[in-house]
Amino acid sequence: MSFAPARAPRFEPQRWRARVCAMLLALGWPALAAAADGPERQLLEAVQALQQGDSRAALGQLEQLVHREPRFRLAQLLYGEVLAARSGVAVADPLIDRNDPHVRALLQELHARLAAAGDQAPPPEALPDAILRLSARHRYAVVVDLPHARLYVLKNNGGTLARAGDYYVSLAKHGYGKRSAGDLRTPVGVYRVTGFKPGRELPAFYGAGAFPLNYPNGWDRLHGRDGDGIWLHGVPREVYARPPRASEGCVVLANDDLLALKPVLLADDTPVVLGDELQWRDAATLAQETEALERLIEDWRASLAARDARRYAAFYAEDFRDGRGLGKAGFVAAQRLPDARRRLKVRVRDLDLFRYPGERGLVLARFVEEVGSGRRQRLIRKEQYWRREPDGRWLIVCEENRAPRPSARPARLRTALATSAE
Amino acid sequence: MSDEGSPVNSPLRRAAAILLLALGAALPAFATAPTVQEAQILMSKGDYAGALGLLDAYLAHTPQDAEARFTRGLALVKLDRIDEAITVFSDLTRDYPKLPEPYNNLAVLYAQKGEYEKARDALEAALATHPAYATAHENLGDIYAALAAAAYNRALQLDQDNPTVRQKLALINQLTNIPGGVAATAGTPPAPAAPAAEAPPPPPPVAEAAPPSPPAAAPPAAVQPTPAEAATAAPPPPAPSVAQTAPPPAAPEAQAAVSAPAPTPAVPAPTEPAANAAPGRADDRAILEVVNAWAQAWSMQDPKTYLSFYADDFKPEGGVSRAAWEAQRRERLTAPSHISVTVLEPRISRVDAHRVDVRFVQDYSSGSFSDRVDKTLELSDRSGAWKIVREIVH
Repeated sequence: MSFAPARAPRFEPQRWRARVCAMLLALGWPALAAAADGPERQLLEAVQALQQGDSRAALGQLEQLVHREPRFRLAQLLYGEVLAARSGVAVADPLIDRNDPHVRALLQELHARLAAAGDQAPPPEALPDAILRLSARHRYAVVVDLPHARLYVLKNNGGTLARAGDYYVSLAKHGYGKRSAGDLRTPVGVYRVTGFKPGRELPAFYGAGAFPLNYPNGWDRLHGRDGDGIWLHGVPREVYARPPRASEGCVVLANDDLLALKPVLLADDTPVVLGDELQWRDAATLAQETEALERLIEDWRASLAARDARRYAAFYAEDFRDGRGLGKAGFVAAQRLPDARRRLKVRVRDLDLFRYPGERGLVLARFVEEVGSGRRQRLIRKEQYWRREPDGRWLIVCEENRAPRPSARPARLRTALATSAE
Repeated sequence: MSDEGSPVNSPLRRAAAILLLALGAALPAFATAPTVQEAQILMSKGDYAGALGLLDAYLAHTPQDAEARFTRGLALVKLDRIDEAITVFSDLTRDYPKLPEPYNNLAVLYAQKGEYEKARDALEAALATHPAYATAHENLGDIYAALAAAAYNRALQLDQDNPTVRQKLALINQLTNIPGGVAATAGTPPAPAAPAAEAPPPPPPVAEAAPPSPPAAAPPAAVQPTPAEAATAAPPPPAPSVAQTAPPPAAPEAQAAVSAPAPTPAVPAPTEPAANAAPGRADDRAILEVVNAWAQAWSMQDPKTYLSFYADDFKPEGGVSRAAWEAQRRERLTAPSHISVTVLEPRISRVDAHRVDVRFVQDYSSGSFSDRVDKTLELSDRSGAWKIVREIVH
């Protein structure tokens, strides 16, 4: 018996599936420098190898990846594609069935991951315009780019922000812009986490744990938005990640990613911005806008310090409401401005400025107001929502005053299993 | 499949060439010993045990005869002593690393066990020394296809209402795995349960002319994971032939918690007074009986009895309604021509006095499809009867 050497090896040239190939090419080159280290990075490297026509390298990457993270279904799908292409045997391609919800979900995930690393990736130095100013007391900020299913971590170096990692996230089934309980949407706005619930105290569905957000915040309540239990949480152990649109309102991360974020989210009152139309700008451009707003806040402070009720009242819109529902007249009156002859000592510190997502021409200013000095000093934590009027003036439409939290670090919540996340 | 597979490439054809090549021609340096020839003749008559006896005796004093060892490996395969055959071929690859055939056969045996990656490694080793070794190339293609099907399976967690993909993937199964077709028309009765049930003619003695190509009466596709072995790669259930439309094939009980996972409230573990605390061992037996009876009702394809094992408040995984689930179960129980479900290695753990988790390996087969999944049934004591309240595939 002899083996005819005439027969050429059959798996060359590689037949990479046309569909996937076209899709990958359309999405552009993943910029690997921006990708976090981890399974996703390996997936992107495999995709890059495929785009370069090196299916052997891609196969090696994917094989490692499915061993390392067998529940990463998207990796399994691509692994299957590459193997099928190499086999030279007719293997039915499940990608053909675009109506299949699982296939669709996986392709959406692939699209989101590749886009976030590819042509839709923000320039490396750019910052999200939702954060105009971040006081040095925050070590981090977290910004979720809702349309692109991506969470960005920003590190704050004394008021100067720099990007420090980004992660794939899943959002609610019906997208974002939450208005009411059960609408299966993720909120849009500026939030903070209120604590951490470790996974072992939660149903397995939440994976490694959960960080509840303070939805509904003052702005949400003013607009009658309800529902609660909006969490950042992990995934059940059967899966590595969930499709881009999967939750009932929560922001869902791979368990490893969630745990990697723990120090970020629990550090010094980290803001969590859920943004619907983020623009990425360089720091200098953002600084110009910030300066104008800083001057505005300073004018407002000066009017308070001077106890000039007329000037002070002029900063408030006619439709103003404070956190307890008080209108403009009542609110201004409650400040008891005209009573005193002497100037007040007023200081504004720890000023944060956010371009409020989901709204046109709205800025959230958060700061600590110090009134008086010495033993009679009062500290008030303020959240002011400034709206840009058609004539270009900025007016306060909503203000909430609170005593500052004694500790910046939120206490760990007692787990109440009865309230589950949306 | 017709749009993708050219018939020339069909594994059915290739299958003929796959398993168990004679060593004689490839080892011109070795003269076939008379005992080995005798053993080969016995094997051609189906007396594998006899052949094995001869070879064992012969190898006892001539332990290094490669052809005798190779033939012994084949006899072990015939006797379904796969692990021993694997040892034989893998020893041969160690002692004769330049021979491609032992690698090839090793790969075929690994593939039968569902260990496709080992199979692939063996084939690549064969190709490293014999880059034009066609059989290894063909087998490698099939291995890749099997690996692809397994990866697709894991990607899509073939489960809920997904008959289209399942059907499509099933075609892979047919293509790569179903014996019949060629072999059947050539007069070989298909014997799907045993790998290569029909013996290929033994390697002809050197003097005889070697057939230029593998014999027509070929063994069934050797890469085929036989029902009991398909576990990991388990391509989906048997596809009904394309013409046959309506009934979706019976699916393995693969329910993924992914697509519509309702937040499951944690089960509180109430502290029970000691008196009516944990059920005892007597209960264990009762619980296992319930689980076995459930599997039996499934195997008997008796939906009414099968469904009676589920509690009224049983919630199907994946957010399907109870009614839709029941309808699906009825269909999947009745559609296949036969079903066999076996509960292996059950372990009982208590959730509380009235609830237990039974985790086990579920061995399912129907027609030419089979798989093994790790499953947990959560049972609840309902006025003396244990009923299934949850069913989870891990």
